[in-house]
Amino acid sequence: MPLTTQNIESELSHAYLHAVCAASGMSCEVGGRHSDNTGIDARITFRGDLPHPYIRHTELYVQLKATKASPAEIDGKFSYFFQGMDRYNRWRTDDTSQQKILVVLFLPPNSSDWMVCSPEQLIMKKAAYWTSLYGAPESENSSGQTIYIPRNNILTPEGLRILVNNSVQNRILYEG
Amino acid sequence: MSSLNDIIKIDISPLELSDYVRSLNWQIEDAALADGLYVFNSPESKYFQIQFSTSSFDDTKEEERVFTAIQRLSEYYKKSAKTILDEAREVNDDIFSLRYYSENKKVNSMSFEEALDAIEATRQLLLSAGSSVVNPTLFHPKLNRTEPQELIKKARFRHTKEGSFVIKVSFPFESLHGNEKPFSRRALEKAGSASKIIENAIIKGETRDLFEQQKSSDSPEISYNFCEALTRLFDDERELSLDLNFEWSKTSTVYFPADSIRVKFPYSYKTRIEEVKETFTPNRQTISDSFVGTVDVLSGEIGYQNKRTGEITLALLVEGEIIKAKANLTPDQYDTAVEAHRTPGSYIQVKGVLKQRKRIYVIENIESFSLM
Repeated sequence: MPLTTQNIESELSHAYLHAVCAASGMSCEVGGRHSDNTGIDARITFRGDLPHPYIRHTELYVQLKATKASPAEIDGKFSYFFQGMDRYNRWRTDDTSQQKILVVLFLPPNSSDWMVCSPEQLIMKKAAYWTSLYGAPESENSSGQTIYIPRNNILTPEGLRILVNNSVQNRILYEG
Repeated sequence: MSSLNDIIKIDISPLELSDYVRSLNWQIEDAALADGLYVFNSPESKYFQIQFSTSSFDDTKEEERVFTAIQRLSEYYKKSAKTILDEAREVNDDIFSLRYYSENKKVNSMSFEEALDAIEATRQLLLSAGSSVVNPTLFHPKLNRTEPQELIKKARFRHTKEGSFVIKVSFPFESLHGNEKPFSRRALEKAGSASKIIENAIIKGETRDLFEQQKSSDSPEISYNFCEALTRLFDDERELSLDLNFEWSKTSTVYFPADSIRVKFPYSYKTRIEEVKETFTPNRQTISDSFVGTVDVLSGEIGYQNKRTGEITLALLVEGEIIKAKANLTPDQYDTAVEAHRTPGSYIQVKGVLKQRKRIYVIENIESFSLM
């Protein structure tokens, strides 16, 4: 049975994350959603020199999303509807040692544009962006909350490296 | 990513986890201590680290950090998180484990009765070894000296391992004065050494020489009591073999370096161990006395006037030990024996002369035989 559209979007988000991690010299391991109710889809591990006196091995925990809906852009931030208030509230108040980020892959609306393969190149179109939810505002909503992801938080190999460097020095805060 | 669901609870302290990784030669980052953190670099690379609080694992933040540490150790050593946690719990303990195994089938359980026998035999084995530390001799009439009894009180029964039936007992390693070995270590070393001597003697075919060798020693390693405990460890119902392992606390190896001791006793060795036990059997003098015990087996036959009479087997309490003794009873005495055998919890008292034959005891010249 072929994958559903949502499954394909999800797999592409994993593929994007793995590719960016590999290019930045980090490992990426898929998490099992059935074994972990906190919504962690992947774990990024970096081992190397960091701007820290003694930490040289750190991790980021990632929840992955993908959407083909074109996001609205307001003041240099993309809007995204985060579903599930329980998880929203847990992540926005979670000050445990595991730094968690949300990564959203914004795909082209037309699925034929999602990936192009040829002998010369492999192209995935558009990009993923990351945000922390820690410190995000409280909400009265029941089903979900619109969050805002800075356009500057594009997930590239260099961007991921900067994010990891910052994460060992300070808690990453919501910037929406 | 290994699942953390197999860890039920982190019930070790930061200090125990720290002792554990230090015993594996992980190197500490001193600068982290000022921030209330233990940060250890792996033995092979400063880029593989674990980090956890120095104070406690009680709050959620620290609990997650130690989960991550356990997970990293699990990945590094390719062991389950549960195994890592078990090892960390035991880092300051000496461990004696007894594994039952079969060459041709998986052993996941044993009968309840056999398990009880094995635990009791383990207790006797440890008491025997402890008694030999206090008083090296070929036979201990009683195993009730203070130090061996204290040894048993300090022993902890541990989780068994999957895939085979394992009895595991641990003893905290508490060195008294720097360079002095605790009693528990000396007792376990005695037990390991005695087991190894017996194993080697069987392999080399030199079991007949063992008694004289031990007798001529100023400090015998092996006692009759120890041999008896070994024979009782065997599972006769399924004819399982035994592995005995003596492992020393990882934190003690700095001051008391020692190799662990492993002894294999295939089931086929049991008769040899029984032969060794025979040679160590003390010459008990003939004892004329009243004895208390239970009726184990009724083996009589219908005799004169259609009454049952003849041989029974008793389990008698003699000098703190249970001894099997055969007795030949008159018809009236046999009726009493039948009554005792039929009624659970019944004891008999027999006055007579207890004598030791080659492989068994007998009680003769029975003056009285009655229910208590």
